[in-house]
Parts: sequence; C-alpha cells; structure tokens
Amino acid sequence: MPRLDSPGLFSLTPKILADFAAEGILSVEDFLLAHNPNLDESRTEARKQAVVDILGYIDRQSCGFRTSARMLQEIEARGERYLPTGCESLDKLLEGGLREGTVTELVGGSSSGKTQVCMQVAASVAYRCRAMVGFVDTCHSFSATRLSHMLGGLVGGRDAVQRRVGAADEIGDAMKSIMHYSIFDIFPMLSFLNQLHTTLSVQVQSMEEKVMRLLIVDCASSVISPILGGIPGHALMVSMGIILKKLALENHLAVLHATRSQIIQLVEKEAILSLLLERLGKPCLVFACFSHETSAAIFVMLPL
Amino acid sequence: MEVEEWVMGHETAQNMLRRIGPRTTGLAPLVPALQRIVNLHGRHVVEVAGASGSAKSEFLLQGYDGWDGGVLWFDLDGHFDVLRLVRLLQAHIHQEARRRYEEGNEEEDEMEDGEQVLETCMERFFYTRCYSSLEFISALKSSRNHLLRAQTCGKGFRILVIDSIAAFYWLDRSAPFKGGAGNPSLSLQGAMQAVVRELKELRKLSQPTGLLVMASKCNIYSSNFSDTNDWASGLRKDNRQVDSAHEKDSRRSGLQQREFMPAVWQEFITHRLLLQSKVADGTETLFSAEWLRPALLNVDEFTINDTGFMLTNR
Repeated sequence: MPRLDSPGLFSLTPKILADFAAEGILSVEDFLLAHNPNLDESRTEARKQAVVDILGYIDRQSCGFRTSARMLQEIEARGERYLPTGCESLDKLLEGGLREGTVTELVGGSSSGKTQVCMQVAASVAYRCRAMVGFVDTCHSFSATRLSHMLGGLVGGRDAVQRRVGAADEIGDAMKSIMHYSIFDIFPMLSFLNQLHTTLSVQVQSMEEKVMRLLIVDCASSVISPILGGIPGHALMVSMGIILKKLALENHLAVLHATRSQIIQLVEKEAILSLLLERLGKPCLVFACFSHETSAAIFVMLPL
Repeated sequence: MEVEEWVMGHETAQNMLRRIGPRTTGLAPLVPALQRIVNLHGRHVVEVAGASGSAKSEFLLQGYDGWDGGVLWFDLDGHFDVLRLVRLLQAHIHQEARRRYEEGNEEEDEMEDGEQVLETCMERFFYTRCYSSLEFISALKSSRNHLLRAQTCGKGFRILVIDSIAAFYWLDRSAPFKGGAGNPSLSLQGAMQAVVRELKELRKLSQPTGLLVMASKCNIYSSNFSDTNDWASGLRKDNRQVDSAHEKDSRRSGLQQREFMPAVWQEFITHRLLLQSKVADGTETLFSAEWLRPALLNVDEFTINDTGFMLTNR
C-alpha cells in the first residue's frame, strides 16, 4: 500500500499530510485501518476534500462491484469449459470434467494413485484441449517417460508412433505444453504462484496462442505439513489456499491439488470439490467423491 | 404509497416475499429457519456459523430471493457460483408463477414476466471478491458510493452478505505488530475494528430501512478434554440461561465450539445460527439449523436440492 503522498492527489497538501501523520496515518493502509468517518464532520473543508480524494483513489484501485447479470454475461461470453480428465468415469463423476475457475482437491493415502491421476489429467488436457498445463512437483514423483506412455495411449495406442505418421509430433507437442516445476518448500511455492498470477494476467492481454488452463500441484501437503503447528504455519497454509483460489478465479484456471489424507482434518476446506482416492487392490482404484454442492458419496470403480 | 402497496398484497413474483409497509416491518424471509425469527429487520446482524461443508454459503444464497432492494455480496472465500444463483431464482419464480396460476389469479402465461423478474433480481445483486483484509476494507469503503447512488434511484440496499468473515483470520493473526502508540497496524483487532466501523457506517447511511448484515463463519471445534473441566463450560453458559440442545449434544460427543472472533465482532452480531451436517443413512446429507442467539430449543432439519432448502421435519 503506497504512502499517502505518492498517488499525487492535489488536495493532499503538506499541511494535511502533517495532520494525518500526527494521527499515525502515513500510508493508504493506515488510512483504511484508522480512518473514522464519524470524526470527519468536525474537520475543515480541506481535510474533508482530502478524504474524498483518497476514497476516490481507493475506489479506482479496487476491482469494483459487478452485478450478477453481468457476471452471467461474462461467463457465457467466455464459455467456461470443462477440461476432460482422460478417464470417462471420472468425467461422469465430475459432470463433465474439471471446471475452469474451480479448485479441486484430490485426497488419498500413500501410493493411492494420486500422481498417476494428476499425470493422466495433464496428458489429457494438453493433448485434447491444446492448452498449457502447469505441473508443480513437490515430491519428485513426476516421470516424463510415464507421461509419454500416457500420451501414446491417448494418441492411438502403444504402437501409434509406428502406425501413424504424425503421432510422434502430436506427442511431442503435448509434452512441450506441459511445464514442470520442482518446488520443495513453501516460500518458493508462494513466490512461484504469485509470479504465475502476474504472468498470466499479462498473458491474456497479449493473446498468445496457447493459454494455460490447468495447474496441478502434486502434492500440496508435502510443503504444508512441515510448517503446520503454529499460527504462522497455519497462516502460510491459508495464504497458499488463497493464492490458488485467486489463480482459479481471476485467471480462469482449473486447479487440481493432491493432498495426503492424514492432513485432511487440519486443512480447512479451501477447495470447492474434493475427491477421495482409496486403493482397493490392483489394478482397480475406487473413487469416493463428495462435493460440497450435493454432499453425496458416489463410488466408482476405475480400471487402469 | 407504501401502506397502499402493503394493503394490496402480493402482486407479482417480485412482491412474493416482501411486505413493504411502515419502516419497522420486517422482511419475510424464504428460508424456513429464518422464519422463526419474526421481524428480522434492518438493524440486525446475523451470523451463520458451522463447520466446513455445512451449507453456509448455500444458506446465504437462499436468503436473497425476491427481496426488494439490492444485495451487496462480499465474497472472501471464492465459493460463489452465479449459475447456482440463477437456477435458484428461476426455480422460485416458476414456483410462484405456478402457485398463482393455480389460484386462478392470472390467466396468461407468465413466462416473459418471469424473465423480466429474473433480470431485475439479477441487476440488483452486486458482487465483489476480496483476497485480503485490506481489500475487504477498501471494498466496504467504496460500497458507500454505491449505496448512496442506489438510494437516490429509490432502490436502496437491504442486505449485505459477507462470505465468510473469518477468511483472513489466520493471516491477520500472524501479521507482525508494528507497535508504537496510536499507530494503526494490520492486526486481527485492528482489521476487525475497521470492518465493524465500516459496516456501522454503511448501516447508518441506509436509514431508515436499515441494512441487514449476514455473515458466514467457519467454526473451529476443539475436543473437550475432560468432564471435570468446569470452567470452560461455565464460561459458555454465561450468555445463555437455557442450555440449548446443541450444547448438550456437543458435550456428549466431545466437541466444543471455540469462539475465535475478536470481541468487537462478537458484540456487533445480534443473532447467531448454527448449521451442522449429518450424514444420513441414504445418500443424502441432512443439515440442521439451530438458533443459538437468541437461543431457541427447536432444531430444523433440511436437505438441499436444486430448488433450494427442503424442510424435512416440522
């Protein structure tokens, strides 16, 4: 939040600024916290004008109010889509796939297949939607070879590369649009997510060809569990949740993040949709999906 | 003029739920749990508390429906879905149209009228998203202009919804204290004080109809350590003479609500509603609503479907 003299508002003369400083208001942030509208009545005209100007500045900085009618129009214009997960039964469970603008949480114990699902979703979105995918890997479980096999399967089968001419190129293109980031700590994670938000906000304006539509964080609990156990730790976890939601809502990404199930009691339900993975036995996976909207538990057997 | 409208009764789907009359007449709410508190009017502040996934945001969404006047919605959680709002409004409008058609009041098809009503309702719903306490306070400050502008047009705002008020609780709590006498700092107390001050200011501006503030809050449950831990339960009993059914249940199940919001917010609210979810035998989840303040002994249970809340008992 800038200091009061930086926006260059004319009514903020040095005298007025000194007046504010005497009350301890040196920046816009201080003004927001300390300004009491009730006391304005007894002040001078110049002071009242200064307050009005500052409020105008704040108004211009904030994103403002929208009516729900306009929001609906925006959604219809953009055509918010569902991203296919690469697995039909999962798509049916999610009523179409991962929805842009939502944060989905994938929960499961150890080796329940979370990374496999994440890679499958990445492959499917990169290939079918021709979109960029960001894959944040915190537990070093990403495997490019496995991903190329999955893409091979999507393109047309294991021997598609031999059978079809352009298949290798398609696989190559899809692999190029999956960006892999290795982050093992909460602070680089937060800084990366903030940077991503800034980059994507600019990218939309320049209308480049491939836009990032999906962000996968596998697995979020590895960076969160070491820091939990105190107020700052909890605050960092909440900040990460907030920045993920911001990425989803402002940049229209579908965010998928995987978590270990032991963490689930501690993590506040930031996600809008939760998927619980349980391993029953090879080679099947059982999904129990409970969403906040319907709060129904649905069981689906998924053959891998 | 206002009295005349009141006497004429329900005319269109828009007037379905409101009763505009003398200033102190309350707004008749749609949600069954809210109906228990008769005369819920502009000077009240309602807090809806509950654990995660207990339909708080749904509840707030339901509260808006055919109110006359606008709604200011502050989304601090990112849980808002425009499509759901549209579906709910459409369902209610259809329901009302069908009801009136059956009563024989109107003969022609009300489809176009319904569309218009939907559009009017949507135009009156103002939404903004905030990602930090400072953004929230600055949004509150800039909503003053909206309020004044709307009042000059004749349609003031009747409800202000905050979902959820505790979204930045942990962030503010961990903010470093700047120190120094008279130096405002972004601490939990400071932020909450500023929020409450702005809300009071907005309420003052929207006299005489008043502004109903509804906020949702996520509850923190802490386990009851021992049955002989009397002082903790004693503190909680201070505010209520009658033990609500919920409290007895929660002591039995070993969970206690922890009130974590600062005192300035707790003094600001006048009503509190607790929502809980219970998983039923079937696939549907039951939700229960109980008024904690003022403490009522009745507990409503309901489920949620596409058209909104459905009361299951009573």
